[in-house]
Amino acid sequence: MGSLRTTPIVVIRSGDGTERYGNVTGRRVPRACRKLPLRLLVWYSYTYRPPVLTTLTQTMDSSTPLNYLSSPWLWVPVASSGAGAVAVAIGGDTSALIAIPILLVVGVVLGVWLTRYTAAALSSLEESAANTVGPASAGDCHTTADLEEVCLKVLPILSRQIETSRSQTEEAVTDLSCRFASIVGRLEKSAVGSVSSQSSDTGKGGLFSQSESRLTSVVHTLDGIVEDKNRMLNEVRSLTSQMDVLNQMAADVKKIADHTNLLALNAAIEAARAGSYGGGFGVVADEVRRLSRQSGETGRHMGEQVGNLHNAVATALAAAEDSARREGQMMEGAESSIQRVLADFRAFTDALESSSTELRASSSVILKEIEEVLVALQFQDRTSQILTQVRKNIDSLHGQVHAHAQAREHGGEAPPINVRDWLAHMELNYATWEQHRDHSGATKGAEGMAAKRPVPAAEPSTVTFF
Amino acid sequence: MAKTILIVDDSASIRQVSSITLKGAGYEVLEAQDGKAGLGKLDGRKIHLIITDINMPIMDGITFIYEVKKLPAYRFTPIMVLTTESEDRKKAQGREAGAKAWVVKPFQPAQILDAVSKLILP
Repeated sequence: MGSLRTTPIVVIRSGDGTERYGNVTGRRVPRACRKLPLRLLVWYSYTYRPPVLTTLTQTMDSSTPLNYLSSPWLWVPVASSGAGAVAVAIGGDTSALIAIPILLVVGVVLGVWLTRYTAAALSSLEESAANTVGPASAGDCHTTADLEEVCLKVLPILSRQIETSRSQTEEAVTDLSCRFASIVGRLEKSAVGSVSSQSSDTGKGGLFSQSESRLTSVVHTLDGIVEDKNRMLNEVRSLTSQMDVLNQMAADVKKIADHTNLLALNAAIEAARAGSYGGGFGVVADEVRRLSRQSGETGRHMGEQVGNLHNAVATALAAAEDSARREGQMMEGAESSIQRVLADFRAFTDALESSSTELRASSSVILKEIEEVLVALQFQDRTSQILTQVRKNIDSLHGQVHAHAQAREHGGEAPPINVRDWLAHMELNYATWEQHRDHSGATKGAEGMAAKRPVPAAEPSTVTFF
Repeated sequence: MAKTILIVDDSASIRQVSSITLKGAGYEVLEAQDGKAGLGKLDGRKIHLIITDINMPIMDGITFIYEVKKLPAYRFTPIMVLTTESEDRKKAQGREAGAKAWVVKPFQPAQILDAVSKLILP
């Protein structure tokens, strides 16, 4: 396949009524046969498809020799020339001796040529028809113009569709990577948070010992308060013993008053005995008796008051001792409660620590997974580049078809296309090794030059330092 | 102070992915979507490393590298190429323009961080 040529488009009508169209390529078709004759020929061949096509297709298979004898294309000219030869022979002219072999040779040569030509044309037609875009729905694609029109209309649509899917994929992947970025940010923040809380004083261990020391200091404070209270109770107890001293003192005062009264009574008796000389002394004795009575009263009062005071202090002491006993019990309860709280707290912080360790472990696993995702997301860039180039190639194909259509419309010759250059240009712009691989794979069977080029090794994800 | 890296790539997803990777390692990241926008970011601020793609609209990566090398303030800023191109012919063009490394996408985050730490200015 050297260069594309202007070749006729033929319509193939199959037995079931559907139509396909194909471009006869790969064979240099004589100009005279390009349009009408070839169409007739193809129509004829397909009308008699079973015997003719089977034979002709077989003839193209190198393993099967061309079966001329079963081809109508051989017999039509041979029969015509035979008829001419018979006519010449009937004429009986001497020149018939020369004309008859010439006619027969011409008939056979023409028959062989027609057979070979038809075989070649139909075989390439079969081949290209197999690669056509499909059945024509309304049977309106009968000419080059129709195919051009289809190309002119379809190619921009394909191009736009590729661009749409490319840009949609890009948007979606960008959005995805945005979300992953925020997940990574949050995970890192939480990992950093849990690590710092672990290492700082307010971490699980620190928090526990801090709480323990605070609660213990509360217990110590309460212990101190109880001790203060006990000291106060002792003071009160010593006060009670002093109360007894006071009581004794009051009793002593009463005793002194009694003695004084007795003395005053004796003095009054002595004064009465002395008569008028003892009058003044009698007054003094009366006064002393009055004073001793008063002293006795005061002593009794004091005794009563001290007794009251003693009772009050004793009651208070009993109450205080009772409360101290209760406080002691409460302190014991508080201490055991605090121990229980601390134990619960330790269990809780242990559970918290293990779950936080688990969290850290799983978040590092997630971070690793996301790293893998980040690698996978980069493939969008590759597909985007490939799709962009596919779109560019479709656009340039569209331009070429457009130029071709215009040239044909104005009756000129279409600009020639060098397929080799076209393929080389395509290959020059490839950005990924996959494109090179696909390119060479696509043209490997054919005589494509790209197949001879070395394809970059798969997965060349490497760093090169210059 | 965090080192600053300029990423020039027309693919938003690649910019995102590179940015996540580099920011995660503590670098400050500037982004531009093509060579011309990348030159716009070179406004006198200190850039410790430039990472550029090759195939970009408006101004491609090779032209961008040549333009950066013309700027006195950034003549010695190391440039790493991050591209899907893996052909030796293209790599030679990059080296000729003045790139210091050539990384083929897709990259592993650890791989690019290693290359960055080898190239980045002190």
